[in-house]
Amino acid sequence: MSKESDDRREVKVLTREKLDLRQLVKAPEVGPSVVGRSIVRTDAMLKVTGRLDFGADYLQDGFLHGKILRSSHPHALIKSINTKKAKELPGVAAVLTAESVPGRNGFGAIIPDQPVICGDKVRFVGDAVALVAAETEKIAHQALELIEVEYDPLPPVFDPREALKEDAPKIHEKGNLLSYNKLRKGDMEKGFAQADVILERTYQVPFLDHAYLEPDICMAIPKADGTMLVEGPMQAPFTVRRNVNAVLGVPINKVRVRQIPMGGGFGGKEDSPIDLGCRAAVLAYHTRRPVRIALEREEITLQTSKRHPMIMQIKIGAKKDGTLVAFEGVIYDEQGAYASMGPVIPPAGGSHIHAMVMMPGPYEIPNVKVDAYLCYTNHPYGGAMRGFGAPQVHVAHEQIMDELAEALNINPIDIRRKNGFREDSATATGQVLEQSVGLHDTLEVCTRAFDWDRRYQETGYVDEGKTKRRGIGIGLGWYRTSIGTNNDACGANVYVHEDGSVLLYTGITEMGQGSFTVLPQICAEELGVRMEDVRLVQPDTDVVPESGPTVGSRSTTLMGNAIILAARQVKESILEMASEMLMVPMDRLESRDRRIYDRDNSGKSLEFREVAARCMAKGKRLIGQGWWAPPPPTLDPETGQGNPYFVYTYSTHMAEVVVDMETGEVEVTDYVAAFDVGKAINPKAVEGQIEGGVAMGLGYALMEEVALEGGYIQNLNLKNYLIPTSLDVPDIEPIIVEVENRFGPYGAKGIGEMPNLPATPAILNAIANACGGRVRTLPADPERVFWAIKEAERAVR
Amino acid sequence: MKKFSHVNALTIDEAVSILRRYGDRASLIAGGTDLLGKMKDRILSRYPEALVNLKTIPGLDFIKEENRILEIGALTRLEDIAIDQTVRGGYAALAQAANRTASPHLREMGTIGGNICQDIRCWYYRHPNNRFPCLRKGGGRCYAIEGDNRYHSIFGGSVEEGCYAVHPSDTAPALIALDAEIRTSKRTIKAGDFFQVEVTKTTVLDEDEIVTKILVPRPPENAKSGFVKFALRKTIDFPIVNCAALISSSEGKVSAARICLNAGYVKPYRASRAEEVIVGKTFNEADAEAAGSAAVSEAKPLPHNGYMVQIAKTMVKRAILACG
Ligand SMILES: Cc1cc2nc3c(=O)[nH]c(=O)nc-3n(C[C@@H](O)[C@@H](O)[C@H](O)COP(=O)(O)OP(=O)(O)OC[C@H]3O[C@@H](n4cnc5c(N)ncnc54)[C@H](O)[C@@H]3O)c2cc1C
Ligand code: SF4
Repeated sequence: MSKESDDRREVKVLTREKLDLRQLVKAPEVGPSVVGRSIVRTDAMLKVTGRLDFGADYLQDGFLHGKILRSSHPHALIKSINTKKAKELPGVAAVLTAESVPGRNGFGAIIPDQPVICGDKVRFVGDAVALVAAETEKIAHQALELIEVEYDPLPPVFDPREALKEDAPKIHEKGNLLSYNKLRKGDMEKGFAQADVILERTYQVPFLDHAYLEPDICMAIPKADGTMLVEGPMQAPFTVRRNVNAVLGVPINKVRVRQIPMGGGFGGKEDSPIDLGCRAAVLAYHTRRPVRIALEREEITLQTSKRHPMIMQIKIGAKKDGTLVAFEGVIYDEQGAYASMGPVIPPAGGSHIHAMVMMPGPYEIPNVKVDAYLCYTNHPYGGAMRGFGAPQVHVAHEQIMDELAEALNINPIDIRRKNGFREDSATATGQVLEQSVGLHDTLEVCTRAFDWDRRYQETGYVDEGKTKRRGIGIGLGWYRTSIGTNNDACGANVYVHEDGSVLLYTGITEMGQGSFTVLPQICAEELGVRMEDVRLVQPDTDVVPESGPTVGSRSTTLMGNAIILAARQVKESILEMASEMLMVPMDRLESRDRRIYDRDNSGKSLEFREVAARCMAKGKRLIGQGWWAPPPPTLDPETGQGNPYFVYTYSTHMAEVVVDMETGEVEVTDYVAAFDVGKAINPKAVEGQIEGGVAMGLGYALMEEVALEGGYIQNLNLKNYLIPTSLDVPDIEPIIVEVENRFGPYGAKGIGEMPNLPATPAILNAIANACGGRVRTLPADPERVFWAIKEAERAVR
Repeated sequence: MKKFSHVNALTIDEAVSILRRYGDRASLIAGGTDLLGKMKDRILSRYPEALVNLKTIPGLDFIKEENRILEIGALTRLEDIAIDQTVRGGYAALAQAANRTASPHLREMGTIGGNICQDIRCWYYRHPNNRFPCLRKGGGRCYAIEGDNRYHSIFGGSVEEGCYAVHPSDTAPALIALDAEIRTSKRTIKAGDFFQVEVTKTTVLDEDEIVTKILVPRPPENAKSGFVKFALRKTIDFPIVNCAALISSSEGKVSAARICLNAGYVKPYRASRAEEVIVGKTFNEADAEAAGSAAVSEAKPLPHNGYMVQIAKTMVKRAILACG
């Protein structure tokens, strides 16, 4: 993490030139003035001074308080519900059960299979069996206690492999296998026949909670004209609207969704605002009063989506020199009780497909086979969480690469140098990576900055008492930009006013990642105005064009392009008008830093605002609307072959750890992370993503786990659900490499999710390097590290 | 949170009489860092009707040393103990234990009295809304013994109750190693005799008894004390295991030792076997390690907490070496 004194430090943006490599950044003819600068976040002052109002700060006058009665069983039939006593309690405005849902009794980001209120059956302990709205939160709580529910418990299923068995209890009518997908490339038999070494390993990862700082909150406000206004922190206002309108049984234009400031999301505020939005709206519909539902921390853990757990089996074959020849993988992907975004959304969407296509890692392998099973269980449901299926498989492919290197007695760096993607490499899905492939650049830059070669010789005990050993580890990563469906368009409106000030309308949300800074930066750059001239309008489905969700590391790239297209329409008016006013041909005019000037005679210029005012007076277009969608994805459902995503971000992480050999405690002591982001629109913001992501990946490696037993969650609160504290996170040195993305605004590609992916395996590999024992089931807590050490000691003996 | 009445006591006697009036329907509150969490999560089937506030009683918040005895008022906050020069100088184990407790916020609120009287943290016991009405709540079974017991006792359960929840305090082992006494509104109790396992109880205190101060005799000149703690993160977490030691030596040889582990057993666990082994030895790795092994020689780990045995052994070793 940055030290205080570092605060004004310029973020390092390395080009190949500095490292004696090919020049990376193509210098544009005129350097950009707003893009590429570490402009302070637009929300920074408001946040650090506590002046930004989050949902919990909103006035509650006139609001009813909604509460949810959740299931007492992980799997049961509902025999009866008696709400009489609860309804009679003074101060209770509504007690609703399944039949009160006016429209479709189901919601979900993709497949609406989760009941707003369960009528006949519950499938996990976070399921809702009744909703209450009352004058105060306290009365609502009391009312919950007065509702009597009789259940008929059913045998539960908690393991995806068990769920697949013939005689397993069926969680949903159509069975427990939600999706089975295949990837087939080359000839497996031939591939393994060429191998000198074949390794088979199984890796396992648990459910993770997002643990965002701000508890979920949602407000549903019925308007006099029959419109339902839904407000809350959310990543996907349009998906919320799409669900609320169906659940209320009204057309889309009768629902208005407004996103309000959000204190962290990490993918979790994609699903849960749908859930709360629908439930609050149903309560507001019946009571005809504004209703707010504010979840408590324990309720968040119980009810909201999680990162999917996976059991990942790999068989990998390589030649003596490290060349990979074959990769066979099986994924048992646990979806939990409801589908959310797990299953396939043609052609390549869905976290499950993402996991499948990314499983072999950023390596060229001629023969690949992956079978991926996505299963329902009676656990919480899996949704998006910073990486959407990819963090899990990174844990597997990066560890097996190290295990393979060890078996072949090759330096872990060299095996990656040999097999890592380069320009024109073909991926496991047969996609040829034609452009923007900076994997090797990050590998070389990171190797030098971390001083890997020296450190690789210097592992071993660090203290005289021989109780602590140092080790280093590497993790490579790749991650898509976009969501890989044919449904990935972004729209933006740019509105220039007569004084030259600008309003920018997009549906992309801010959750801490910096979009509300980076998007205006792109807009200002394209128009030729200053950053402070652009005000971004808070996403509101009544006002902004449909932008899709803020997920998939897509905002800067996809929305950036839409903004550029919108801004260009206005700029064209401006330049046309300026051309008339200056009597200079349009193609000689340049708009920059609030001035329009003649490139050949810079003395000849006008102020941007003068021209804008003239446009307004003359009725010339000052509003632009841009739409952009990435090149369409393709993926054959039978073979998993095709181009699932249009561009990828690449990265190399290196970690140093010290393992306490007596207790199994792991301390991460040093960290370098290099990223090829195409172009850093705001380097400081990229740095922020990298540091936060590494901290999150560290938590996945060492401590995070939703502890489940018999379908109940043991660690409902942040005192038991452990995430790293500031003291547990080492100094992180972020390095930005720029290998231009032809399809990106100014060459940019996504960074939001990526940084936590390689962090987890880098740390796990460092632990193995330090103590000889390898932890293949996460988290690598002291207990698991301790047993791994013991196992390694036994093996030596 | 449910409704309760909050009574500000002005004297110990007044607090005692309110406690008598309410019987088991009242609780004392000091910093509230433990109690309020319990109430908010409604972990027990019974909810206190009244809280008797001790913070309004003057004169319970002090640290002083007189006649080689350190006196600490029950309401003294952990942070004040952690930074007090006298405590840090002569009673290092206690200062270190207070300093490693919880996080800065909690140390500013939590008191030493509350720390030794705090309740257990077993995650079945603490599950919100009394989802697991276990033995320790007067129910029929222990969920931890069949379930996830990764943070439970490695030295067996409490004899009468069969509960495996560990005592979580960081200061308790330090007070026992330093041979402290607990002064209450009724009597004086040796720190080593203060802890006891019963249904919803962790101490020998009667329902109407209040801890007023803690007395710690100054260790002899040839003695040093130390405290070590193993926790999952660098701050805020309860101990997985901690250990305090007070060791006297002459000419490099250990002449007397008091060693106490905590969070490994249902109450603080005096490591007498380790004490026997280390007396007469010098401060070296091998002997400290042997003492560590002796300390855990009677360990009976549960299915999920075998790793804690090794940690306990290491904590004993490191606590001894810290006194060298
Ligand atoms: C997140 C978190 C982390 C924590 N980490 C640690 C840790 O690492 N180590 C650790 O040791 N503790 C830890 N704690 C427990 C923390 O609550 C105690 O350390 C604190 O000292 C309790 O003091 P208090 O004054 O707040 O007690 P209170 O909550 O006021 O009281 C606790 C109990 O003691 C009783 N009591 C209080 N004072 C007296 C008295 N004078 N006489 C008789 N009974 C009394 C009360 O009735 C109550 O039952 C943690 C707590 C939290 C919430
Ligand atoms: S260990 Fe004790 S507190 Fe925990 S479940 Fe068992 S009896 Fe209850």
